[in-house]
Amino acid sequence: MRLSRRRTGRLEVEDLRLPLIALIDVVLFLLFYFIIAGTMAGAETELPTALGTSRSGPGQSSSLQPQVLSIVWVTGAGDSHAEFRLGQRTMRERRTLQNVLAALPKDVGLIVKPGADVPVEATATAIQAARDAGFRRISYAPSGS
Amino acid sequence: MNLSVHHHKKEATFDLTPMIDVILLLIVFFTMTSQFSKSNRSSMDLPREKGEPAAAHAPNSLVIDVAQDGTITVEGAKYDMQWVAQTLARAVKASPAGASGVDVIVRADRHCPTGSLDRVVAAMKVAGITRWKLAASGEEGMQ
Repeated sequence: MRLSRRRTGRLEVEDLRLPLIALIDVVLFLLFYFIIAGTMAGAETELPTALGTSRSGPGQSSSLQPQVLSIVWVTGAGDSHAEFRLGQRTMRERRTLQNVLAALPKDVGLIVKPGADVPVEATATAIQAARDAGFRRISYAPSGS
Repeated sequence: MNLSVHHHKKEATFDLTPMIDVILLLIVFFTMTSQFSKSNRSSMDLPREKGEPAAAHAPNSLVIDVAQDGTITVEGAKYDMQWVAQTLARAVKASPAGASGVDVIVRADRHCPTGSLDRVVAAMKVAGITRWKLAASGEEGMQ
């Protein structure tokens, strides 16, 4: 078998072709990688919480008592929702809750106390709203404590 | 313009293309396998809150899943509360830093009643664990 090329001494069309195979390989690999990495990018996050009771928070050094944010699950006719109660105030909207919490002193901390029938999402909403409002000492009091 | 080329005798060269292909394939393979080993967690409908990025967990970390019906699952296997309490107590005992060295992450279904979560919290309290983390989906929550 003779594999030698004809030598014409002139630039031929086949000499002008770009080696696209390697480029396509690399592009496909990168595409594949980013597609797979993108589907797994939905990383979970965390809401750090301490354990406390409605009587005392962890590491409570001052004589001031932390504020207690209660969550109750209100079931009405065709509508069930979580209600956030802080002292005499009752809130339903997360934004309102966050605004109220933002106006409170932060150094005494906050205790989140949900009822046993409250969905975990409402509890997480309360913790997140407290963090967004600037609270760093957030304690969780299980129902019945 | 002189486009003529001088054809010399063809030199022996290495073809790098297959080598680059194989190297990229290996990089992708090892990256993917390490990612999969990290994401060894069951799919759950977590509370839709943005939370905080997950920090590097302590060696004595324990991830407890609480399903909507209150079922407790750890690494894909179902357990009762007694097992959870014993495991938490063992983890605290094994940790050089005591209860503060144990990292507990509770992954609770967002529709699950908080009462089911409280059973896990009560077990943590008995074991002396005072700090824990509630897993969130990382999405924005309700307004």
